[in-house]
Amino acid sequence: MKEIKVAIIGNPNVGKTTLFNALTGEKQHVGNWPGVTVEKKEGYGRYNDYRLHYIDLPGVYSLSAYSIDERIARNFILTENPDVVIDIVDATNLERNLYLTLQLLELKANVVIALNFMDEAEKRKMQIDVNKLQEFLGVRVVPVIAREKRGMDELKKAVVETAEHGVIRKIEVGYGRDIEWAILEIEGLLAEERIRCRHCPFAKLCLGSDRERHWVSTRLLEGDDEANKVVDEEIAIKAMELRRKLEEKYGDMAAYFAKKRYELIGKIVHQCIRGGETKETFSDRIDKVMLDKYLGIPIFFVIMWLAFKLTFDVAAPFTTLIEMFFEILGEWVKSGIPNGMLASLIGEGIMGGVGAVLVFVPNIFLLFFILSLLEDTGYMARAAFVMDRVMYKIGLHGKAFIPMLLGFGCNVPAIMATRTMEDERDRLLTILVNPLMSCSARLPVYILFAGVFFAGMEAGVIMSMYLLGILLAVAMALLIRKIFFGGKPSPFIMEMPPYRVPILKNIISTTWMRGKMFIRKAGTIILVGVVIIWFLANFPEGNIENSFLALIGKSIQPLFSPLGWSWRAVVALLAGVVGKEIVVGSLGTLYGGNLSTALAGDFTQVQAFAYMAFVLIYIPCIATIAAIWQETGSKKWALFTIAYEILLAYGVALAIVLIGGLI
Amino acid sequence: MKIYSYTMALLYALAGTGSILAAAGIISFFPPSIPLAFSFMVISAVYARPDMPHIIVGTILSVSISTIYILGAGARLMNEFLNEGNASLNIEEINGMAIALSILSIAGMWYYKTREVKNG
Repeated sequence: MKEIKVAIIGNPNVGKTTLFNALTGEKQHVGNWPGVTVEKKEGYGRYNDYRLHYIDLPGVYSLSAYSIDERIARNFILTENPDVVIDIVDATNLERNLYLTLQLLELKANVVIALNFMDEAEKRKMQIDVNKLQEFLGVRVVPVIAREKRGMDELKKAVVETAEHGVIRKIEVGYGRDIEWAILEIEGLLAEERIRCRHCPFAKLCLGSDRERHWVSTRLLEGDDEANKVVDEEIAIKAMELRRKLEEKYGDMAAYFAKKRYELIGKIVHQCIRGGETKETFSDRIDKVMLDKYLGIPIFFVIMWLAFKLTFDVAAPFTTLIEMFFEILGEWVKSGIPNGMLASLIGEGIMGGVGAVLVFVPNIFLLFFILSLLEDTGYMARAAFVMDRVMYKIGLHGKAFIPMLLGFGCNVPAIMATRTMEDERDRLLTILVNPLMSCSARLPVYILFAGVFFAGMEAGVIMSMYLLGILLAVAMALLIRKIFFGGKPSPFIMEMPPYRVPILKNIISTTWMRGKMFIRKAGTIILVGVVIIWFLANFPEGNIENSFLALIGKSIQPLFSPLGWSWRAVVALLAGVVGKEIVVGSLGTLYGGNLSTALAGDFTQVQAFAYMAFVLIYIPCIATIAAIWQETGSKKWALFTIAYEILLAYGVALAIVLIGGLI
Repeated sequence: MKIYSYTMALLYALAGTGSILAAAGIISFFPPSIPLAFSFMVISAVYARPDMPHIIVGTILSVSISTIYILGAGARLMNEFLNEGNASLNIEEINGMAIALSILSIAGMWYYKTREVKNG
């Protein structure tokens, strides 16, 4: 069976991952906002006697390599040499999408265009002449509706035909005689060049054919820094001289190339599209309210409050059912196992600890469900937009809001999502403050403490934790920018996806993908954690007050005595360094019996609130520390994050206790 | 549309004020909740601009609030039944006022949306 390597590329939020899932049967996360895919993902499919190997690349507007995701996409096409590149194009926005298409064609890639959102184009009364578009671009164009899996067979057929026979015809963007001469001159020099580094992304190109050298020459004239780095210094200088000369006549070269491409795109669009509503779309009308200067942010807060209210209120009976299940199981284990020590380990240690965490599964799933719903409708992109004004003022890039929002789920993918940010300083700043966004692992602690100490105000108290996280992230961003980076964030341009009716299957699939991580953790890291806690709490004498754990807890507890927490609470915090979910599991093992009653006797309301704030802020979990290390490429920044978060957590908790004591 | 929008804005402003007063313990027949009061005030501000997009957003928010209260009350009822074997519910918990306001919102939106379609 012949294998065909197929890269899927396109602008952000044009349905690449949806198409990838439709072609492969995979269930990768899909979101109605830009920046969902930051790493390439792979999957397989079949068509007749062909095995199709699909690679889903991050969404990019061009192949200019300004941000990490653009670099990932471009380098893949340059170095991995896919047999076919499916360029997924938004039929409702051809003008913007075809820029990337033209760059791919200039790269002489075997392109097949998947014309997505044909249903929305029809709704807008747009008539797209697919045959004419195919004729202009010289590549196969297949209309598809990825969400409904329509047009998939035709697309696969076009992929196989293109892999076997190549594109229909090659097209060139005309840049004018002077520019073409300059390109030819550089091409001549490149043909003689010896490659200094064979591992560089351009190695294949420079060793390759005249056509491939043409692309490098074009990039050199456009002023692409990456291209400059990989060619011989003499050639880079020569290209720069040519560029300067041309700029005297034509102005900025990068702008000139872009202008020429858009001129061609304009002609294509003019010839291939008829009709189209000029009146405001439904999305435009709703955005007048949602993005309103004064109403946008208050509406965002209302929506977030409703999300937390639903998360807390509706999950209650399901939580009770799980609680009952673990109680019965614990009793059954205790009475069924004759060995007292083993019965205690399983009944109190494992059932008590893991059970204490698993009772929050309904809350976690509900929160993920609501966040997925908001993503799928397109509201999250609006949230990013309305917050941008605030974020810019405080020194954070507007694009940072998306990784910050993702941080509500888990800080690890959120930190990885910063790859969409072009400016390295903006990206680093976002990574450093991201752990302050309250991830789902911290939610069980809030729910537990809010339920015990703030009955009737749970949703408000939980929301206050999330807001505190946002406020602290903002304050730290300001401070870190001022101390380490200076300057202002780069401007933020974001395309608003249209509002779409959410698809229940997508939402459930995303909720399950995110939620199952929490369940998996309960069976692995939390299980190991609570077993260790149980052993430390029961040895050497079998009495918790004289255990190893008490020894550790009581030796550290004086540090926390200004906050009024017992050694048990302090030990749970220590265990939480591995993963914040373990805090509740550890409390369950340490206090034993009815956790809520035990906590009510060990904390005051103010101390409980301070404890929640401390859990929100102090030290990121191990996985997040590793992600910071990996993404910043420096352990210095990981250590810095740990240090500032511990200090900040202590300071905030102390302030709460002191101010709360006065009230 | 103006009269309808301003009336809804006024009703939501009253509901918001009522919720604040209830949270302060001054009156008892409104649900005492500051976030709810804030939400009512935001919806009031949305309705204060009489055009269709504002009416649509006002309705969406209004219906979301009442739906969440209904679901929450149902869940509480179920939870009480699981824990105690019986359950009872009072109108305050369902938040009858939010439901009444959301019904008014839907009715208004339906009426004006139909007219908008008729008039092209």
